[in-house]
Amino acid sequence: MMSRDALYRLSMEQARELVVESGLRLVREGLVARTWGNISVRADEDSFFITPSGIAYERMRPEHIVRVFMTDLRHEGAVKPSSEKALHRAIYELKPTARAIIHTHQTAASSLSCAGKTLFTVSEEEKTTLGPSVRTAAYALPGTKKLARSAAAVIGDGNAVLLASHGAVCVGRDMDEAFRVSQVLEDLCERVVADAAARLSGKSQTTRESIYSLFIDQHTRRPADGC
Amino acid sequence: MAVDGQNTRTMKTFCAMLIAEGVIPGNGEGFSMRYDDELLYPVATDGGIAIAACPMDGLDFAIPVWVKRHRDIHSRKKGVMVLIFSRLPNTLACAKAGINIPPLLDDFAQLVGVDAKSLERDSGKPSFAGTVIKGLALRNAVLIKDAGGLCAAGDFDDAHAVVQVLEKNCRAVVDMFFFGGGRPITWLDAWLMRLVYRYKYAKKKTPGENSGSGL
Repeated sequence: MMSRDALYRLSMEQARELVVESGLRLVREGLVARTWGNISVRADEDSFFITPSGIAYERMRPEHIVRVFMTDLRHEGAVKPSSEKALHRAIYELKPTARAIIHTHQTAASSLSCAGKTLFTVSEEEKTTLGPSVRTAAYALPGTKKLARSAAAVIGDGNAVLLASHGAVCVGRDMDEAFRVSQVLEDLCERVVADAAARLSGKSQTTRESIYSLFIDQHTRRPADGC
Repeated sequence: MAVDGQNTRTMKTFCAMLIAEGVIPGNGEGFSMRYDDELLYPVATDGGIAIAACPMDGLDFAIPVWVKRHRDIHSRKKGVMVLIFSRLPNTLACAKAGINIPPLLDDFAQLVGVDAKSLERDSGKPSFAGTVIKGLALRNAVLIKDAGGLCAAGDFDDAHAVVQVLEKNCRAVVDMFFFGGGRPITWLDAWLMRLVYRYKYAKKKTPGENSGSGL
């Protein structure tokens, strides 16, 4: 049987480099902009490496990546870690196999987070990647312990959670898997909205253009003349 | 009058970015930047986009109507150095619907404000600039019926961020229409977030670290 330590294959330098590379990937794939969102990787049992607060991904270097300790959220060095460090710790505590977490502001998932719904996965790919469902954590101000508690309370067996009015958290056994989770989540959210629009319009399929038309039509339609 | 220099080169780069993202049309219309006593704006030429300049005050009958409108807003609204008129699809859909935009997402509350007002169509009268300025009170964006969203900030990075979060929040408004409207952030939470964000990020702002709080 593999020892627990053997699960952590990254050196500290590798962990820092991975977080920097993944930050650029996050921007490239349109999952965040500016300094929004954050990424962490767990390199050993006692700590994780997380993006700093307020530094644009394009300017981020390995020395900006902050080591945060699981026990008390203490951090090494002068650079301040992301304000969402408590959220990352809460999920690492709940999911011992998790090695990477990305908190994205991806468009479709952020949008659907405002509905406060539980999304049930349908396809085999969705079930395998995301788990049986994706739930929405109750709204809490960014960077608060309440947000960390809300997310931890609903992630369950899944690998993703929507943060109400904020974004999404995607978890993986490695960074590639966390990115895969975010992509499949985005596709799921697109489909859920398209299905809802199709139901309202009575059509079998909708496009973004038909969604806009339906939305505009419903808001600009004059009430019928009555008595 | 086409001008040259570092500022125009910078603006040309920004203009190309906005056109590529579909924020503004290919002729660059709807984007202006103020530098001291001059307003720079793009003009379409046979050779592509060029940058023209007009003085902030004084009469200039040669400038396009939209530039006159921008100049009025730049000169009357303190802190505004960049205006971008976004025609991104979700922003445009909400502008066509003619509704005020509630804060569904927290980055909208931080960067745009407690909501974005929806104004009637541009009447063409000089007084419309006053209507826009009123709509921008304590906010960084306003929607104009059937046309799009006007985003205002103190520098390009912030204005660009306002464009992005306005579009994202408008997408949430469109999508949530099919789910009963969604749950907007309360007015108090939105207001607090904006205050904290402006205070926290304006303090440490350096190139590449933006506040999004140009107003």
